[in-house]
Amino acid sequence: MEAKEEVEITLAKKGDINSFNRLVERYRNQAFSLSLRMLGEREEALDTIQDSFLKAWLEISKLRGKSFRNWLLSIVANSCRDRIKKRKKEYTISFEEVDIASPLPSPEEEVLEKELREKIQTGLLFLPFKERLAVTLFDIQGFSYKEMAEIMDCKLRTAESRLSLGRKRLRSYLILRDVLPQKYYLKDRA
Amino acid sequence: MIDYFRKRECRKVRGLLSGYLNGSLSQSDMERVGCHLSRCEECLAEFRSLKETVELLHRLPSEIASPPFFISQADRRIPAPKRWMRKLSIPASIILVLALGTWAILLSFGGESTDDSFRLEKSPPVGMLTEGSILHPENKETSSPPKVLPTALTEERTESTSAIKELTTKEKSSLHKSGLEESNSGLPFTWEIRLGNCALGFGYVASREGLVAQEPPQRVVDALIACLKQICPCFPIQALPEEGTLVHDQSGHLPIIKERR
Repeated sequence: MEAKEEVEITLAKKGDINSFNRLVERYRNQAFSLSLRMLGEREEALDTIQDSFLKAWLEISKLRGKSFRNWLLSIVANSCRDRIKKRKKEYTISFEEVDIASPLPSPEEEVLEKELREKIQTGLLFLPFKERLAVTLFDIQGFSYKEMAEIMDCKLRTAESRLSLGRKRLRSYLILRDVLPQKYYLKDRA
Repeated sequence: MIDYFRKRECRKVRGLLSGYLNGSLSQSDMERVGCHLSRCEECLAEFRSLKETVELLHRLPSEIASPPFFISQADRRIPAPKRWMRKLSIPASIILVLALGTWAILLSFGGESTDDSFRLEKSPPVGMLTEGSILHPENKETSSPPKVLPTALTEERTESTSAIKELTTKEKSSLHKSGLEESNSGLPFTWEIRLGNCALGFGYVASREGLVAQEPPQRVVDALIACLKQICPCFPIQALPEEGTLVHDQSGHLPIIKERR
């Protein structure tokens, strides 16, 4: 952890709102990405991170032993889980990804890429919550096993196992939706 | 026999493929999986499909821009609502509305007024309700002593009766507008409390035919009764009538009535 961040956490614990806002600002996009991947709806994802940030602010004194980022993301993950439990209707994919990375080369490729991403995102939403969280954290957001386990608040082996199961389930989904070639499916069943 | 051992090895290796892909296995397991993949086409296909899945996931952006959020100084003072508070929020709001309504009606019947023409000579027992008074609002005969109502007040009561009738025609829309029908709390919102000719609360207004139907949850009834007793301790409040019975007022009790859907 950076020394600067440590100072900001200490100040935030003492009630310095500006320090807290600086901390949140640093991880805002990561929190939003996680929320969006888990929920699949932009507005709901925004509401969730807003709730999570407020909760983090109210409970910052409880932060111990974890990095601020992992602690914040675990709050976001729990809020997403609560939202999913509450909602009655099925999810819909309703968000436009605004990639921070470089833009896509041509409009045709962009359309194809967008379709592909939507299919992957839909596949993600078919996964059970814990597997979806593992796949999102590790394969999309690029966290390490250790970080993933910390955010998910579980053991390393458990996180690894959830990731493995999630990948397999997603793979089957993508084969059935013709995103991956059928030959894999046939080989698998042989 | 050989086939059995081969399949068992395949199962074990397939369980390790995700870790192999990440390079997180021990040296011996890495070698074991690598060796098996070089010999087993099925497991190799599974490995490739898994690898392609992960590659597809890598195409998704790791970060998506979100609008900025700032916690304001005021948020420090807002305590997070406790779960029990959230659960009670809907019944509590109903009770509050009913309490305010009751209070308003009490004032209109028996409250002091600066204008003498609006003052009752003898306050009628508020909450008195006869079967006739609901089924036939124009029938004012009750077992209580005759009341002298100033003209203005009588007109006011008639207006409130017509307002009830009017509401009956709009019951569906008002329910939907209130958004309460879709509540998770299990409250049917088809019940109401009546005081004289005035209806309080949400939901349907009693029609001329049916008056009693489903029961509201007991906790709501208890809370309402407690609330009303507090507001006006002089009222004997009877228990909720049996389902399917008509509401009779023989003792000046305050009935809680509901309409059959």
